[in-house]
Amino acid sequence: MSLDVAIFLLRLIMAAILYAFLVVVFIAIWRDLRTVSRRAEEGAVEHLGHLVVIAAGETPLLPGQRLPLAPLTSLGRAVTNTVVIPDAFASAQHALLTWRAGRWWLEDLGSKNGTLLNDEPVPTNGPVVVGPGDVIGIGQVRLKLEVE
Amino acid sequence: MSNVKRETRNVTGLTLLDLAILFTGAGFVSLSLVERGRVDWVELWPASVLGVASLAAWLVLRRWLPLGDPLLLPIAALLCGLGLVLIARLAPNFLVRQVLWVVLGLGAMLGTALLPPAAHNLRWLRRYRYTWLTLGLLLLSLTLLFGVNPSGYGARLWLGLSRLYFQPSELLKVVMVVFLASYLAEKRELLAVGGTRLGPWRVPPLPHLGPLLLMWGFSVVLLGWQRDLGAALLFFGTFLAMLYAATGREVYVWVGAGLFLISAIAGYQLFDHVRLRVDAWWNPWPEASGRAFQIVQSLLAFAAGGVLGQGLGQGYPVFIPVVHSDFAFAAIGEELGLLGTLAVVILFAVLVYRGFRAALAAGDTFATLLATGLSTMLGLQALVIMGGTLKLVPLTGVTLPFVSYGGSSLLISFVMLGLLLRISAMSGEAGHAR
Repeated sequence: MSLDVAIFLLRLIMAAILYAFLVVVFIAIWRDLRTVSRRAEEGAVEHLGHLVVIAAGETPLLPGQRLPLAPLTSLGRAVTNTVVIPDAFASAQHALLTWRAGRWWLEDLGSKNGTLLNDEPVPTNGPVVVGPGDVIGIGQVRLKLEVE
Repeated sequence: MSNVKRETRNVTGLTLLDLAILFTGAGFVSLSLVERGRVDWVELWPASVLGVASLAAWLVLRRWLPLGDPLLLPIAALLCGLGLVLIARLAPNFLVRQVLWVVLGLGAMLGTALLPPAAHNLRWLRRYRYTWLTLGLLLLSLTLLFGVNPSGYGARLWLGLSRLYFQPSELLKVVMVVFLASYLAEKRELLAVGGTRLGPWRVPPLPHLGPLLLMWGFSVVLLGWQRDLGAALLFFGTFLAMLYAATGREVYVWVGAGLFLISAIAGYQLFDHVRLRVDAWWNPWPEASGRAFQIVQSLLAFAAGGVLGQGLGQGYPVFIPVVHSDFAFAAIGEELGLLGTLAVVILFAVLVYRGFRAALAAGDTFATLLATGLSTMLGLQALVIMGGTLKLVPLTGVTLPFVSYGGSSLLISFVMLGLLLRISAMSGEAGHAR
């Protein structure tokens, strides 16, 4: 193989490497954009977490059911609540779960029978912090907080 | 983020890095073939050093910054590799020093991305903004007193420490962006909606704009005094882009463009070196062998290159004065042709795109503005010099980031890359925490 041919081949190889690089870059960008758009389709509220029903009491809720959380999630018997708990011992506006400063806060809204956090009554003078795995009790219903 | 996904990110990054190193190696092999007629394996040492250093940097990033953008390092490595090949071809005397600066630059990139000033969501950078700015301006003022030019003539922009020279205006570029990002992140609400009405216009609140204009004016005066036009242009463009990104008010951009036009006209009237540049841009042909020699040679180089280029080592780009630094793009045009120049343009476009992407995803105003400013500055610098060598805009002496010879510029480009890496990782961390 003469020198000129070798040099010429090397030129082709260099151009090929350069453009192979660009192709890989574009594939990576395309993949990246696809994940972003998919994440956008899944919705923004999804990532806040879930309430998992552990005990349903007499209500039509099913144990193991996952209830998605909104940044302001109201709990109670009235149908206007984010999470409706048709338990005989639940008040119409029973409790409020709020996402603030990177944490979940649970507040009892002056319910008749009180709200339980890990089977301890929640103080009525203000919100308390709830962590992942904590169990909220309203009437006979038990809901576990799951944060993703 | 799942482990599988992180694995594909790493694989992509490694593939790209391998391709970049392979490209550099092939470049040195063909240079050796052209110049000596055989492959002198010793001549390949710069490619090996680049390969080892960038792979080591990649390993460090994978270990300590796994969520950082996987494309940034390979793109910089490819541009650096191309730069090393060009310097070996055009100015072999500078090759050792450039390799040293590349290694130092990679170290600086890791340092900026991983050390405390950047950790904790860049809190240090943000909090001590006046300290950084004062230090940067102090260094720049020192060059007014003790500045030297290593080549013995021209603008005295360097500070010498025995045989090592550093250009403080390069450092000021980063410091300025950090300062502006930090200041604007705090005051953007005021600047965006505040202000008094004056007829149909809303005048921005001057007390809040004051320190900004003062700092900016001070640095531009210093730069104008030093006749470093390229840097002044970069500062101004980045300043406007960040102001617009922070407030979303077009009026700032229009007023800024107007100010720029006025100062450009004033500069043309007042300074000989500005008039020379503009005249050589408007019509270089009457003085093709005189003062416009450089730009005419650059155009001839591009023309000689054509689509496929003359091939490495087979053109005559050394006819262009200082081709290894300001005119590296013209050398690419002559020896690698349109194929090479297009690839370089695309690489810079991708670099800027990834920077803006990190800015959008950062989820923190300061980080967003910082990434916007850094990407704008890198992109603008590349555009200004590429446009300058092509006679699209008047020529201003800035380097082509990562490619041109120039230690300070290379080091600072890598520092900017480190900050972008850190910001891109922030968005990943935030997504991970949720």
